[in-house]
Amino acid sequence: MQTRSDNVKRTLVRSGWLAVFVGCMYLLGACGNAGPKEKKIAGYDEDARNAVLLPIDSFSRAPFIQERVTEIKAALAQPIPVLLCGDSLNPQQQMAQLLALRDSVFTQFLKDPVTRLPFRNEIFGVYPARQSDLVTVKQPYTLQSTFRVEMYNYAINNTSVALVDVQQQQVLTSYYMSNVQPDISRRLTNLAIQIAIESPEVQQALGIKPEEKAALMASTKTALNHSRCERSRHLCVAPTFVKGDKALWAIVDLTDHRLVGIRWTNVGNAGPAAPMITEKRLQDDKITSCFCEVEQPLKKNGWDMKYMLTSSDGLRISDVLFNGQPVLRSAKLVDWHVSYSGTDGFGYSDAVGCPYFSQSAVVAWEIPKVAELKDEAGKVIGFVLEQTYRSEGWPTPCNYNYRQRYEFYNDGRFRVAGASFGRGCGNTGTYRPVFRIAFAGDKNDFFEYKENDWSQWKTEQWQEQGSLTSYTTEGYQYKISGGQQGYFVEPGRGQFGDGGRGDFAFMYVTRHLPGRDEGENDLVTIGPCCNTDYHQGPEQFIEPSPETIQQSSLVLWYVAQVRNDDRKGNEYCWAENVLENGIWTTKVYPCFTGPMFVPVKK
Amino acid sequence: MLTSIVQPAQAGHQYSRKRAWLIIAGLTGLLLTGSQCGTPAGKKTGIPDRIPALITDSVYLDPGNIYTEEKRELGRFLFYDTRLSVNITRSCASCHDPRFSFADNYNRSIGAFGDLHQRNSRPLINLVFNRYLTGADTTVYFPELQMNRPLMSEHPVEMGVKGNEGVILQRLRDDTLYRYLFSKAYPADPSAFSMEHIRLAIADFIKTLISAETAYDRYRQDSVRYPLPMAAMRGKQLFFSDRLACYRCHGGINFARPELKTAEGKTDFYFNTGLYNIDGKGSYPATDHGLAASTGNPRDEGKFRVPILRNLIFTAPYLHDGSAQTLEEVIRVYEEGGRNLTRGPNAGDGRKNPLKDPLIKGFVLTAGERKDLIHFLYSLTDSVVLNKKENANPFR
Repeated sequence: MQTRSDNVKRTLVRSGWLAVFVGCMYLLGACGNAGPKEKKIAGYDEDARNAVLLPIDSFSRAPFIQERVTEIKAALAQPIPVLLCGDSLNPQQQMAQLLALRDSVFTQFLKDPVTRLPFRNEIFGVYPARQSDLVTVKQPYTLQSTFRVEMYNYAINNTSVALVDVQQQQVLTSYYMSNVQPDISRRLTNLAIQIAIESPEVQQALGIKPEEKAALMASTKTALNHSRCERSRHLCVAPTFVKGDKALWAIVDLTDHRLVGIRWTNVGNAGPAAPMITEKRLQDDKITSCFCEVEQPLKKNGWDMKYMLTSSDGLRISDVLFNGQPVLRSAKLVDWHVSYSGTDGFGYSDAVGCPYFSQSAVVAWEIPKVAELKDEAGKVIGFVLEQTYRSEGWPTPCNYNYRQRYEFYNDGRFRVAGASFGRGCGNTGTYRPVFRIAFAGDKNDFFEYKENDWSQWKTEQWQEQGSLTSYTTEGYQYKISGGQQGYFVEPGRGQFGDGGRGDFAFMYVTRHLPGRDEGENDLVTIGPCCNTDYHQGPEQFIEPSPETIQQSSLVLWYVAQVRNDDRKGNEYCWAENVLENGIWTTKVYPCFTGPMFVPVKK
Repeated sequence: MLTSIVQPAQAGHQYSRKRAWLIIAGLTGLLLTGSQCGTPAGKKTGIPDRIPALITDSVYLDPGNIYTEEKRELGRFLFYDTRLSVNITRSCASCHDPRFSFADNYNRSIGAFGDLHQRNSRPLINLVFNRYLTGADTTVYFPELQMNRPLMSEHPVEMGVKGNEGVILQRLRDDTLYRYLFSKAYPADPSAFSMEHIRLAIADFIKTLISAETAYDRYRQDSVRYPLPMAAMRGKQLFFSDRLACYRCHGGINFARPELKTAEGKTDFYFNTGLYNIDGKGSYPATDHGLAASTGNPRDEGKFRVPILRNLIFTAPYLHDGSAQTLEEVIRVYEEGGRNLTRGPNAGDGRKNPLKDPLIKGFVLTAGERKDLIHFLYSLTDSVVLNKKENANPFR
C-alpha cells in the first residue's frame, strides 16, 4: 500500500521530468510554435485588450505594486505567460499546477489569437479535489492525489479549471467558464488590502491609516458602476472598514492594481460596543474530512440522496429519490449576490462552501445538520438538511451568516431554500441567492400558469415573479413534468411561516446536455454582484440562442431577491446584539427564500 | 384646460401657455439685450417647446431662471458627475438614476458619507407639473430651490457641498470640458463657475425630464388606435370609481394633483394616510413628522405630498419612507384604511390615527381586482423618457 509520503517522493522525482518538459515548451514558445490556433474568443473586446496592454504604465509607483508589475512583466515575457500561484503550495500542488499548464484546453487562452501578445493569466488556487468536482470524470482517479487548478484570465475575464491527478500525472478534465472569476489567492487578498490602506482616499475618509486587520471581506469580489469594475469586467474586491454606524468600501481593481473608488454605506445603529458573540468554532478539518471530500448518504422517510459540501456552491445534494423514483439529479446554492447599491452597483459576490478550499470570508461553520420537521401539532412531517455559513465577526457589521436548507416532506414535497441572517455591510442591501436545481429524467416539460391555464415553455427562457404574476388557487406558478411524475413549483410569497416575505424571484430554465457543463461542476462566482435585472448569471446559458426545452433534461435556476431592512419593528435579513436581561443576546431576523415543489397527483 | 404656467411670486395665478411663453420670451429678450453686460444667453427655446401638446396641465417655472439648451446641457453633465460631491462618491444620479425613473431603489437614500436620508427618493420626471416638489415642505416650488437641499444639506449630508464650494468649483475649472460648457451656458460671464450657476443649470436639465408616452397617454390621445388591455381598463374603472376614489387625490398629468381643497379653497396636496399611530394620538416616527415639521402645526403631523404615479414599476420601494416593498402592499394599506403595525417601536394602529384623512376609510377588493388595479398603474409606465439619449449619462 502506498503512503502519502511515497506519493510525494514519487511526485518530486517526476517533477524533474516535468521541468524538462516545461523547459522544452518555453523553447518551442520562443520559436513561435506553441499556443492554440487563432480563433475568435467570445466576449473579447477592446476593454479586454486594454486590460493587458494599457494599464501597466499607469500603475502606481508604490514599491509593493512595482514589485507586482515586475513579476507580471517577467511572466508575460515567458513562452508560457502565466503567473503561477503566489500562495505557498506543497510539492503535489506545485506538480498539479505544472501539469495543468500542459493541457491544451486549460491553456487555450494564453495569448491574443490575432497579435500573439500574451494575455495576463494567473493561477489563483490549487485545491484538493472533491467528488463534486469530478462528477463528469469517467476515467479512474485517486481522489487523494487529485487537485483542482483554477486560473484566471484578466484580459477576457474567464476562468480555466483543470482537475489533475498527480499520481497518474494526468489532467482528468479541463474546461473554462466565461465571465466567471475564481476565488482569489491569499496573496492577492493581501495585495488588495495593501492598496486600500495605502490609498490617500481611504486614509482621508477614515481620518487614519487603517490597520490591515481592520479590512473585512477583502477577498470577496465586487463591482462598481462607471468604472472598469462595472459588471465585474475587471477583477475587483472591496476591503471594507467599519467606522461607527458607517462602512467605507475601498473598491480595488486587481486587474489594474489601483483603488477605483470609495463608497460609504450605512450599517445601521450597531448599538453599544457589544463584545463579539463568540462560539467555539468547530474544527475546519472535521468539516473538511467528513463532508467536503466525500459524499455522504442520507436515507430517511422514503427519501434517498447523497450530499456534500462543495468548494463554492454550498451544500450540494445529488441523486435524490423518493420512494425509489428519481426526483433530482442535483441541487446546490451557486452564489449569494449581495448588492448595496442599485445605482452605483457595488456589493459582493459571495460563494459559500468548504472552509479549506477558498479564501472566502463566509464559510461552512458547522457540519450539516439533519433535523425533523414538525407541524404545529408536533407531528413529524418530514426532515430538513441544513448548513450554516458564517464569517467570524457576525453579527457585527460587515459580517455575514447564511443558512442553506433542504426540506423533505413525507408526502413527497420538497423545498430548496436559503436565508440571510444579516447583518451585512449596509442597510440598503439586496440579497440574491442563486439556486441551481437539476431535475432527474431526460423527458421533462416546463409550464407556467397564466390566464387560468398552463402554458408550456418551448425554449430556454427566464421570468421574474412580480405583482402581476398569476398563481393557481394553491399558489403554484410553474409546473415541471416528466415521465410518471411531475411537480408544481410554489414560489415564496411569505406563506411558509419561516419569516420570509416573498421571493420576487427570477426563474430560468435551461437544458442540460450530457458532456456539456453548464454549472454541473462547481461554479466559482457566476454573474456580477449587483445587477438589478435578469443578468444574474444563468442567462449566459440561454443567450443568445435559446434551445428547445421540450422533452428534455431540465435545470431550474431560481434567483430570489430580498431587500434587507434595519428599521425597528420591521427588521429583515438582519441581526444585532442587544442587551437583554443583562447579557448580550443576538437577535436574528432571517429572510428565507426558495420554492416548494409539490408532487402532481396523477 | 389650457396648458398654463404659474409664476412663483404669484402662486395661484395661472397664465395661458401662450401668454407665459410671451413672458419668458420677453424676459429672454431683455436678457439678450443685456447679454453684452454678461447676462445669460442662449437659443430662444424653452421648456414649453419640450412639452407635448397633449399635456394640458399647469406648468410651474421659476422666472428667475430662463431656460436655455446650453444650460441644460451643462446641467446634464453636472447631474451625472460625482465630482459634484465632496468626496467624489455621489452624483445627483446616485439617488436619481434613470434606470429607476430618476429615483433609486433604496428604502431611504444615503449621502456621500453614508448618512441616511429622511425619505425615499422620489422620481424626477415631470417636475414642472408639480405644484410642490418635496415630500413635506410647502416652500419648495421649483427645482432651482429644491437643488439647495442635496447640494447644501448638512443634516444629513447628501452631496456635502456646503463648506467645500471652492474645492468643488476648482475641480470643475480644472476640466477643459467644463470650461467649454460653462462658457457656452454663461457666455461672457466672468463668474460663470459658481454654485449658483451649477444649481440653475441642473434645474434646467431636470425640468426637461418630461414623461408623456405611457400606454395610458396614448390611450387618452386615441382610444381606438391605442386601446388599453382589458385588465388595465378594468383597473382604470376601479381607479376612477367612487368605491376606491383613487382619482380624488391622484389627478392631473402626474396623478398627483388632488381635487380636494383646503378650508381656504386652495388645492390640498398633503395628506395623512394612516401609516403610523405610535401613541394613539396620531404620532409618526420621530425621524419624520411630515408637513408638521415645516409648518409647526400639529394637525399636519404625518401629512405628505401626494406622490406621482408614473413609472411605479421602476420606483419600488414605496411610501415616503420606503416602507412598502410592493404595490400590493401599498394597495392593501388603502384597502384597510391605514396600516396596523404590531411590533417594534413604531407599533400602532394607523387605521385609528385621529389625524388620518377621512378619505382613507378602506374598501374591499378581490384578488383579481387588485391585479387589475396594478395593471392600470403599470399602464402609466413610460420608459421613453428614461432612455432618451438627451437625458442619458454623458460620461458613458
